[in-house]
Amino acid sequence: MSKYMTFESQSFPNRELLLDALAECGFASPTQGSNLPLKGWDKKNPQTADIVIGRGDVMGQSLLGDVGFKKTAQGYVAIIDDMDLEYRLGKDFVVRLQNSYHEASARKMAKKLGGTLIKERVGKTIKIRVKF
Amino acid sequence: MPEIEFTIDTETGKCETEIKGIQGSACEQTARQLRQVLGSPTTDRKTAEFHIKPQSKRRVGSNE
Repeated sequence: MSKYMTFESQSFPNRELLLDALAECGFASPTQGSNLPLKGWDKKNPQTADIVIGRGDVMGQSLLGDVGFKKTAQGYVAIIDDMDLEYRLGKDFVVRLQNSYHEASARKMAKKLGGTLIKERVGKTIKIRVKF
Repeated sequence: MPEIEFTIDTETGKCETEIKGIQGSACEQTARQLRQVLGSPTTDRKTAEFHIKPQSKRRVGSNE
């Protein structure tokens, strides 16, 4: 082997891959724009984001607030109401999104390098090999 | 055959990557592409293979 790197951040650097990951998690058509206001948030604490999932578009149930992703220097960061995370989306929502994002990254690298992809799941670990 | 191995811990969202079978600057180029999609790594280390240099043989002339 020649190089080893670990990625743990809960920010998502690539917009296209974030959209792929959201689609895989069931949110295929989020609204995209710039500084879009998020509905359902306290007026004393208004939030804006660049990718928005409407609060009525989630698994047939209504969330307290829209889910947003705001662009920062490190990438897109999720803006989610604590109560929605706890009782509707599930506490592990961002981790599930990270997993989908990482899988989408592997697919993108395989395409970019003209390689083949082999995916294997062992318990709670997913191993993906991109050979090129 | 060079490869990139992704190991995703589905409980924590942590992703480890290993670039195998590429040396030197070609490896660094692949690492740069990985950083573009995955962001800044929390761990980033070169392994022994990274430092292997292509072998060259010096031609030794005869004094006779």
